[in-house]
Amino acid sequence: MRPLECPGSMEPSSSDVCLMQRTARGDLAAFEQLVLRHQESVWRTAYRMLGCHQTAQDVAQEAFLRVFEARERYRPTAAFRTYLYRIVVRLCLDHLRKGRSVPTDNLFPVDDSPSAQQQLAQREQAQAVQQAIGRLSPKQRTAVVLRYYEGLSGREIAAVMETSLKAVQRLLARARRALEARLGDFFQE
Amino acid sequence: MSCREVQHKLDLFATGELTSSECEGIEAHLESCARCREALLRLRCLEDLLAASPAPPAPEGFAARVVAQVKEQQTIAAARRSPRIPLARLAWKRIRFSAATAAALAAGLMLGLFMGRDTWWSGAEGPSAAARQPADLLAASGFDDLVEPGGDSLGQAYLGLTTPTDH
Repeated sequence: MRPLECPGSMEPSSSDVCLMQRTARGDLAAFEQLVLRHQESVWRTAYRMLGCHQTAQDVAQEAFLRVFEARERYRPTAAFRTYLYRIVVRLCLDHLRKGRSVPTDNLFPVDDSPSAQQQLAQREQAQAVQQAIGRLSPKQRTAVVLRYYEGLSGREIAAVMETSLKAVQRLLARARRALEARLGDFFQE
Repeated sequence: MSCREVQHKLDLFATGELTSSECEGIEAHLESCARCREALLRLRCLEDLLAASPAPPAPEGFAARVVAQVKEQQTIAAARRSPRIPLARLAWKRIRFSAATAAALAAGLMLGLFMGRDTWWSGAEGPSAAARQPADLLAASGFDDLVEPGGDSLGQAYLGLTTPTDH
């Protein structure tokens, strides 16, 4: 199989694989391009999994550092996004496994609504959602974050979590039941 | 399909990941099962509820910080790979330490040999040397008067018993 031919210039359409190959050759500008392209999804995932701004930032940064360290070993056997999610999820699960509690940050920005009462209601809802997610098991939390916030398909989630599609379905079904039980008051009629 | 099966597959049904036959089975079940229709509705509500709380954007300057940290790590790694001066210093320290240790051992050995020189005697000199020694030792120790004429003193007898021979 011929190696992928990557254009030499930094075109916007350069694929993740090309950027990783250039990174492996020492091209830091290509690596920065990768970070810029994926920083939002990595950051969001870490933030929702861990619930703390500073910790999420540290973990997200560590995820990209791991990508850079592994640049010469990287083989495009799966989508780069899957590979990256796998790294950040593992780091988050490691962090949770070490028993570090999820601090109660004010996690979500509130709309610039005119009504103070609306703002308060939004804040309460956001807090309730994050607390309900925080009470899920780490694996259920991972499946929920990847499915409902990152928009990954069931197969992508299975690839990230290195499990079967059936296992992902079970995780999501149980997580939904738990979330519905805790957030039922907020469901719109 | 049972309600349990359907509700397990609702997420994939919602994302269009099921096969056409599975979709048809679920749709047929939903037509006749209010409970599962309600479950699908709750799934939609949950999706909306979660989507209503977006996460804040990534921190300002995040990418630049990551790249800066990578550059710093590369600099440290490059310094570790070519530590010419530090390694030479380490090697010289080791050589000096070894030389000092060897010198101390040699000095100790020499001192020990020197101190034991008069105590030990060479077996190659034979019994005549051994016979001479007792008298010399007595003289050296100041017990000359214990050496009777004729070389047949009590001291000589004692030394004859204690001095090793080549037999």
